[in-house]
Amino acid sequence: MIHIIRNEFMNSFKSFKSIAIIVFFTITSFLTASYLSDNAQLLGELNSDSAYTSTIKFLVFFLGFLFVFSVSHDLVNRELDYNTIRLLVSKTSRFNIIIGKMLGSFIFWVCSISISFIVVSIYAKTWFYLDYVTVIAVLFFITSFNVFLSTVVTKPSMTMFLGILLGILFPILGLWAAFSDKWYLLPFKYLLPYHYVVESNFYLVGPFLIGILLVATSYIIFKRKDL
Amino acid sequence: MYAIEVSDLKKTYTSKEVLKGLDLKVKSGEIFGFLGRNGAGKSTFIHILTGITQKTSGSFKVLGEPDQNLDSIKRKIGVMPDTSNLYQHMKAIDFLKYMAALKGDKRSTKELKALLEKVGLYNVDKQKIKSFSFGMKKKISIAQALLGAPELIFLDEPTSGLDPESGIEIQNLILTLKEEGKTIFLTSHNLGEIEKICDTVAIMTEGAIAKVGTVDQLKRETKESIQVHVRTSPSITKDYMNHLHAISAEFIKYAQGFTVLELKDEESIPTLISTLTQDKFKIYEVKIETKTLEDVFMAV
Repeated sequence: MIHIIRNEFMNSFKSFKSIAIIVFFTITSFLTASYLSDNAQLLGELNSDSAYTSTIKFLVFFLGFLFVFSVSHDLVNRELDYNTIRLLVSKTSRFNIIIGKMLGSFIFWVCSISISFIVVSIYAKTWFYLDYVTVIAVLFFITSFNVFLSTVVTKPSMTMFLGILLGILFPILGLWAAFSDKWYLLPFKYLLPYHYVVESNFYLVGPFLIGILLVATSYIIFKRKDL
Repeated sequence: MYAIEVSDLKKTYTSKEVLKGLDLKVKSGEIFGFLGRNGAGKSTFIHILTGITQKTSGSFKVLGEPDQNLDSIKRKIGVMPDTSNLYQHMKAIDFLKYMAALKGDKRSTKELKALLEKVGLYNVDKQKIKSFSFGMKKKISIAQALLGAPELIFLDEPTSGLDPESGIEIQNLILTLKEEGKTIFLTSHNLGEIEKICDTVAIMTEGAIAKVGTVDQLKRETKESIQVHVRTSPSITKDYMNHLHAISAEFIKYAQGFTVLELKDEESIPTLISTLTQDKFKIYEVKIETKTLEDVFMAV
């Protein structure tokens, strides 16, 4: 499995899109941290040191789906589309393939976000544990959902389309549902990570659990597929 | 000891039964040729045995491992799938490193280069696969199937689309692998190639095994008429053929000084000769058209 993780991780770094996103995250974090550092009185007005990480959180919560889908919407189905999947399944287990791809993609995003947190923590001279865990929980959910989508939908062009569509819809529906009790928003409230992020602390286990469920479902579907 | 034992293996897609209860045994250490027309179910059969496709029912053992232990089977086999694509963006050596890692094969870069040379790819290790010709892609696809020291190697049409020279190189490689004690399961549409290198051959039609045996056995079992070319003096005339109808010989044509006759079986040959001798024909030459695997295949 480790070789699939490594391959997926390294491949994520090879595209222009992923490099652009990392640079964008890093520069934005740097500018925010630098600005807040030069205007320390704002921290008091914002009533929280978390202001340092606000940009990162904003980017991940609102654009995280779009970023992840744009880089790896075809994580599983491109192997089906190119028929390279036959090289993999004849050598290793389907479990290794799904988990390896998920972890490879997840570790890539953890690294990218960690760079931003490191930049911010240098300026703030502290590490924002809760914010870091919150962002990681959301990214875990998003990468798990991405694995699910690219396993269920076999055409990369379709996952690209759905990725853009859901990447826009999910943050809107998720945040709306997080602050609403309307019955028709309940699925979005409990299936998307935003409610758990708003509740914070122990609730942050939620996105991880749902993510694990999504990956397990992906594995079951993938295991039954004729390749 | 059998490398493959298959019992009542079935595969059904929504509306079509692709494999109709296959029973097959492949001995260890042999080159087994698997023939069939397009859509006969050859690739589906290989895909099931190698974990690419799920069976509908039945059972199989590969190298003594039951089909429930598919992951254990995968560690012992090498597979060159038919329509598999390769990672085009990778360099040849990086592709082999990745494939080797998946198989737990700890070969060094130097050893992987030697593997490339073994399949006839020289000084291409740093080239990207997308720059390879069709034949080179076939060869590197075979190379990846040899990783992990497999005891059994599935080669799905390894020489299709190759130039004759490359085809012969691959045939020689397959024979070398056999000498190394490996079992080769080979599909091909090149019947001459199968006849030349395979110990046992199975012919598949519409999802079932129609015939299985050595090439000689299959030829003998094919109950078809045979053609005999006879050069006599005087020549056999069409009028004289009425005499030969008694021994069920039929005139076909004259060709390059020969009279070509069709006989119902091998036993008719001495009868034909004695009949001609009795009727004062001088027989200078008799040529019997030997059956090929193609004849056997076409008769199925």
